[in-house]
Amino acid sequence: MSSNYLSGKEIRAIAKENKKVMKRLEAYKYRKADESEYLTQMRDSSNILEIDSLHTYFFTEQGVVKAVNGVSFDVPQNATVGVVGESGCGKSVTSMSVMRLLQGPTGQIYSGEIRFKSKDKDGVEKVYDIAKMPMDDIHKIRGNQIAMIFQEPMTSLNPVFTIGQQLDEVTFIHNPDASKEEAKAKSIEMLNLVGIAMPERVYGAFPHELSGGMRQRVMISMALASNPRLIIADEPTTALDVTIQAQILDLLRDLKTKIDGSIMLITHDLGIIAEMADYVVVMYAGRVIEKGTVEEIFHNPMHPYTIGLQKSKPTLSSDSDTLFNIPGNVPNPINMPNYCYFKERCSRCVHKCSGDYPEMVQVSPTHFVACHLYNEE
Amino acid sequence: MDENTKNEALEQSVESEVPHDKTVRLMSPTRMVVRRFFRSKLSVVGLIMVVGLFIFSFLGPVIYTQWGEIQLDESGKTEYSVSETTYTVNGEEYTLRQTTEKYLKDNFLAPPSAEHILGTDNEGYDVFVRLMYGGRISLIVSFIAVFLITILGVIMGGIAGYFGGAIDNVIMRLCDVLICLPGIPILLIISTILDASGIDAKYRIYLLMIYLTFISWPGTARLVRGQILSLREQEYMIAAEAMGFSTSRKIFKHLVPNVMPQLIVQMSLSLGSMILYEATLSYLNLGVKAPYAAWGTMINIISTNQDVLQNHLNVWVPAGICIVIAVLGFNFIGDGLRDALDPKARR
Amino acid sequence: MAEEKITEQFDTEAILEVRNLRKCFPLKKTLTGKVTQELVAVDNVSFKLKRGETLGIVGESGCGKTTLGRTILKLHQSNGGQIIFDGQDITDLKSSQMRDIRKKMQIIFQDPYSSLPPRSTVGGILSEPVEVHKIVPKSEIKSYVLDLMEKCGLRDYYYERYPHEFSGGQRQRICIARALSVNPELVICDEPVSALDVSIQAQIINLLKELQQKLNLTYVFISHDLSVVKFISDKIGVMYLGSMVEFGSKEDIFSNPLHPYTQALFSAIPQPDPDIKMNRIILSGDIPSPANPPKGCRFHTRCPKATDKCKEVTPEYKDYGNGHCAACHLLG
Repeated sequence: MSSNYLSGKEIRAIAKENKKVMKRLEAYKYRKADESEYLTQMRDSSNILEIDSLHTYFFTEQGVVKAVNGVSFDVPQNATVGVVGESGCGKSVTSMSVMRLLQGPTGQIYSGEIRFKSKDKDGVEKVYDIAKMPMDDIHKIRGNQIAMIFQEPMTSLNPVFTIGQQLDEVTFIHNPDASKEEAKAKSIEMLNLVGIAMPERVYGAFPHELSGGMRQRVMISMALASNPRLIIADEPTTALDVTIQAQILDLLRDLKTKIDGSIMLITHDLGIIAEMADYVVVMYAGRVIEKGTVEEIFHNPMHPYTIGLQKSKPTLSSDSDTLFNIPGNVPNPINMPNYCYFKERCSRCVHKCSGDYPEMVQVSPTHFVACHLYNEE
Repeated sequence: MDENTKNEALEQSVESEVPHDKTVRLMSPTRMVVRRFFRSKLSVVGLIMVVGLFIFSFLGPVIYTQWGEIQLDESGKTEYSVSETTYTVNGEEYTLRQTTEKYLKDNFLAPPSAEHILGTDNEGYDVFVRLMYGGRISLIVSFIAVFLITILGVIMGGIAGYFGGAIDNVIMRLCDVLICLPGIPILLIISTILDASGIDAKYRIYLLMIYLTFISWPGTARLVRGQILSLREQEYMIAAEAMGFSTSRKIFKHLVPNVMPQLIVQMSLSLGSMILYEATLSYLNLGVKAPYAAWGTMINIISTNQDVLQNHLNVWVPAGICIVIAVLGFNFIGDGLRDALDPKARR
Repeated sequence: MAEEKITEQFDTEAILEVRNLRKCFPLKKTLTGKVTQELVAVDNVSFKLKRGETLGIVGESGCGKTTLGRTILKLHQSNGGQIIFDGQDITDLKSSQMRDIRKKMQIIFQDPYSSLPPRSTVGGILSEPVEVHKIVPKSEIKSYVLDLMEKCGLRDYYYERYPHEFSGGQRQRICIARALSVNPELVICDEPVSALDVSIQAQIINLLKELQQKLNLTYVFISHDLSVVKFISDKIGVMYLGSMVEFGSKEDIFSNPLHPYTQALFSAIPQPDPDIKMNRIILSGDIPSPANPPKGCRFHTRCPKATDKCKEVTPEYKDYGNGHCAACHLLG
């Protein structure tokens, strides 16, 4: 596409424009603000996280990459919400936005709300808009009310410290008065919780001495150490072998009941979603194209992409001769046209699809789909 | 994540049936590098500096033929000296003022004028012209040295990296030994030997640079070896092996072109350091010797002549500026090339 | 074993036969070059593969499946056993003797990014092997390559493009085209789809299947994804820590998995159906390091059914009827 080769003039124009926007957003991010500025109300009190038309952009040299382009979904209390999509669909960027871990100044939350119901030590519940929080106040939530488990257990732990030192540190951050013994006791308790057989030995070990599965368990225990209300698991098992993956998934399912929190599970594997999630959000090219309960998505998928995705995955139970395949590739996220992003790959394309991007249509109280095929008007 | 998203952005949907797909301008990796290179202002400045120096030192003496490199300005110069002697005769003081007018053959330490753009030095040579000739020798010598270093480094590093095992071990230990050698003291010794053997002053700098090549190739060899070791593990090299390509085809068609980018960067950066080496040697009076010109020798005048250091800046400052321009220019180009060849390494 | 000269006739029906193949990598050496510790990456693997069939090799990381593939291609020199390709024992051939055989066996890699040379055009990448092996006369190379590109779903104007302009799926198509450019009979696919997105995976798998039917190719399909292997394979081999624990036809393996590891592997795969709540066998513990494998049956540290015998005696790899082989004491 021509956007790949820009002339020097175009590049400079883009850079100038980007600089202006990035400067404004950066200043907003690091401003001093009173708590009242980002206090808000939940739409539905049974939710713990509500994301409302979130736009997260990357201001690159080639132009603005709208990695997350108007994403809205809720995470109810004590539920697992699975976010599924192919690489580049914006599922990880969404989680990074919630954690406010975007790499500035290129990556910025452009607009939208991320409402999170937090509960402090005294049990007082407050609703914060994470998207408006200044970076200085983020620590109230990050790593404390919301914890994150990353994909790469090999690089998420610091190689020069023992597991024990890294776990104790988490305890000290949240409870600075704790004594060394208390911290150690707490760390070992956490290691026990995630099913590590010899916690004392692992406590003194360095990350390189552990296998991938063990490291992922340690990462989970670190995430749990602060009693989070929401765990964001970004592809937690992608780097692991199948048998180890089964162990970790089993552990996560177990923990959800133990810790009384919610999980936002990000993955590309439909199998994991089907097994773990209560609600499913399907993303494509920075947009949510379908969301609903796990039964609705798997038994009654509506969007042609969701249907195609399910059919193109070979399963152990199916016996067909050729796989269904969605033609083409994921579109370029720069300069997206304002029609359905899936139009060019869709086999059920109708005349209306060349028009505006389809609105979300509600098919059942919990099931939403963004496709013209279901738009009655 | 940032990086991933961007990569995703770059790999566009080539397959989708977008009509303007076919008409997209093609761009080879080399053209993309050139483009990125010229996008950075600093590398363009570097390029202008270096090209300017080249024109100045190689084309300059052809156009500006008024003076030669070792042509003295024999237009003559009158030096006046006044001496006073006081005598006391019968209680009265007499002062005898004696003015001596000395007619000298050479017009030395002349101030800048139309005749001599930058004046003359303490011998009566034209500074401007000698600057050009000094640039010639510096550039030629450092290019030869870098060329030799690269050839030697690629061969040794290539052998070590490709074949590995005992050969690798021997070459790398040799590199270790060479890197241990103290450069300047040995240069002093060699220079003394050259003096004793009576080699023409014009050629001794080349001999010294060959010695420098000899002790400098291990850097390039290590770079090449490291590159080849990592390239060998790339799957396209395994694919080439699986295709049954011959060893020479694998080395010259698949390995060498992929080492080139790093080599070019290394070469442009070491050009700068070779120019510094040459200047140092000439300054220490080990390299180019009088009456031949080199930037180092031109600065060397100040080490023996206090008067020039203080009062005749036109004699030695231009040479210093030339050295700075050359070294900075090559370094800017090197940095620019590095960024252009590996856009991910930036920031 | 290696000393005795084998003069027997090889099975002509089989395009590839591997007998007791073994590959070790030295881990520690003394100064004089004597190996004191080694990693047995492939240990005593045997199988037979008929022309036009697909053998799927499944296993977890470190089980030696990639090494097996590369050793068959003789990209690694084996340390024992035999590789018989097309009725010829190629185990001890020198690399110059291998050159002609190379064009009959090709490989496709996992990572479509590092497997294409970045500085050649697609046309250059595809025509180089054709030129070297003199597959067609020089004047016909371009039309041959364009024809090949069409077969692999690549458009003709890609010919002058560079790999960096393509996405993962497209690059994998280029890799397939390169492998097929020399008219191979056997293609080793080393995790060709695991780096790709689900929707692109399906495209590539379908392409591979289609090409197999058109060109009568034989595949060795290495993957960690059982569902993909099930889809494409006729025969399946399950590997664990360097050795083959079970081998058989797809139907046998899936309807009647014999080895406890195969059973656990099947049940560990999450199914994209919320109603299937499988009775999961969750293996405890981690995969032992291949540098220091356990004694006896290598799976005994994680096996839910392990007995005392398993800890001491290495089970024999036996045929349990119809070419369905397994190595487990419990099978009697």
